[in-house]
Order: sequence, then C-alpha cells, then structure tokens
Amino acid sequence: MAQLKQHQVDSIYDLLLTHGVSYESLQLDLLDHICCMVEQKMDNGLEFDESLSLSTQEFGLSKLSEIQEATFHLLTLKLNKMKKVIGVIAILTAAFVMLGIVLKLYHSLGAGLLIFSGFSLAAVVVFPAMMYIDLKNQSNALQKTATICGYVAGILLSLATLFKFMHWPGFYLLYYSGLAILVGLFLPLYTFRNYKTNENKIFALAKSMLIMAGVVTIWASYRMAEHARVLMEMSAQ
Amino acid sequence: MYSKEIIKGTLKPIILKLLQENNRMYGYEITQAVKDLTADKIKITEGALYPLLHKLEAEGVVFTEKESIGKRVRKYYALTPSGKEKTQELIEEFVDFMATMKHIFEPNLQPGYGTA
Repeated sequence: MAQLKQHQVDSIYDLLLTHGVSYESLQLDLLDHICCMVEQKMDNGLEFDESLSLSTQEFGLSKLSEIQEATFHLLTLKLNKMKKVIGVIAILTAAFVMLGIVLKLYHSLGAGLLIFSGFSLAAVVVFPAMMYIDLKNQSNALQKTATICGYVAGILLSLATLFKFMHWPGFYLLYYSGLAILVGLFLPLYTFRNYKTNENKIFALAKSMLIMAGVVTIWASYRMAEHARVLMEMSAQ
Repeated sequence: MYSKEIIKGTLKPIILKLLQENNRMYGYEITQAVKDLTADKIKITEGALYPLLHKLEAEGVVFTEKESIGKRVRKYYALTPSGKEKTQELIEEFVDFMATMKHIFEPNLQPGYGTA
C-alpha cells in the first residue's frame, strides 16, 4: 500500500489552508481523508500528482470551506437557540430591575416582587448562562479566567443586592467578595488582556478606567446611603 | 444512487450502526464501508460526514483517538458509553420505522385493506 511522503502530505495540507479550512480538528480529518483517496489511486498505479488532481476533482476543492461552514453551523446551532432564549430572559431581568427600583423610590406596589425576581434571575439564570455561552466561544486561558471572574463578581453583587433588599444575613460577605473579585481579579485581567491585544493602548486603558469609575460610583453611593441612614437614625434618637 | 431527500435522516443511524459494529473507525473508512455495504447505492459525502461526526463528538456520543499514520495524524471515532446506549435506542427506532414504511410502501402485505 502506498504511503505518502512528508512533502506530499504537506502539499495536501497547504491545499486545505488555501481553501479556507482553518479549524484544526477538521484539518486532521480532511487531510487524512484526501491522503487516503490519493494513496488508493497510487495503489492502482497512478503517480502522486495525477492521483491528487483526480482526488481533488472528485472531492471538489470549493467544497472544502463549505464543509467547515457546515461543521460550525451544526456545532453552534444549539448555542444560538440558547442565546435567543437567554437574550429574552436577560431583557426581562433588566426591565424588572429598572422598573422595580423606580417603583421602590415612589413606594409603589409591586416594587418588591420586581426587584426580587430581577436580581434572582440575574444571579441564578442570566449570568451563569451568559458565562457558559461566552466560555464556549473563547479559547484563550487568560480571557476565560477574566470571563469567569467578571460573571462571578456579577453573580455575587446581584445576590448581595437581593440579600440586602430581603434583609437576609450575609450581605457584607457577598458585597465585599463581589467587589474584591471585580477590582482585584477581573479588572487587572481584563485590562492586561485588552492592553495586549488592542492596537490602540489608550483606548484599552480608557475602557478599564471607565469600568473602575463605575465601580467607585456604585461603592460610594452605597456608602453615602448607609451614612445618610445612620445620620437619620441618630437624629431620630 | 438514492436521492438526497431519501438519504437525509438515515446518515446518523448508518454511522452509529457502523461504529457499534466496528468499535472505532476513521472518516475515510466509514465512507468506504458504506459504499461497499450498499453496493455503491449510498455514498456518504465528506460534506455530510465530517460535520455530523463533529456534532456527535460535541454531544458526547462519540469520542476521538489520534494516531500517527505515516506522516499524518489519523482521527478514529468511537462510541462513548452513553453513545452506545443512544445508538441502541436509535437503531431500534430505525428498525421499527423501516417496518412501518414497509406497511405503507408494500400494501400487498396488508391483507384486506381497502377491499372489503
């Protein structure tokens, strides 16, 4: 049985690359497949070049990129369906939270239920599902770690708000661990990764600074609210 | 050669059945086995085979083993334990389906229907 030489295998591999097969796992499949076709023809007495051109004719070189597309399509089909469902739930969650907070400010009916469902959905459904989807699309270890830290911080802070609102114990633990992960892990990883991959370094830093400013604002407004509450209690006494 | 319309939907049971019988197979081997078993009547195209194999792998029905063959790497596909169960179920369903189709397409086998 014919066995292709290194340079012959390489030339078939180049063919795959020039025809847009970039997915490594599929490259292995197709490389072996075409090599088998060529070897089969060589066993029947043909030369390599002739065997290769016959095989590519049978195969249809233009079909190579289509195979990759079909593979990606099948692999992401489920994920895309999930994205749609999660998208709808996320929009509802955001709406619940915003409406709940406005109603709460005006002491209107229904505020409690909306805030409770909003933050519960965010912590238990939306953030975990979004993390899963994002991780599926990422291959870089640093990026994956940043993603996990970001979503875990989001989950902890949502739970903190929920606990605070429900007057459950454990708020401080959730709140400060959430903030610590956000500032101590997520932001440095996010900044480092962005700084490294972004062409425009200033823009990359600006993004991180804006997130930091947001975090400080939330932290400060919570502190101010606490302060005001303590002052009110003191003056009431 | 059967039309695409008819073959559609049979591809997965065929591949899983072959993997059940042969323990592990590589892509080219699968296409050749189908060609031989069906006397060239069913040809599995690469465009249908590999996307499906990758999907089955992502779903945990099959797993792969890499082996060096000459100057290249060959990927063997084999059923996972849960894949074996699913395959058995699918094959049973498919056999039942074929029996049902027979009732419809070979009406002579159904005595008395429509003649009373």
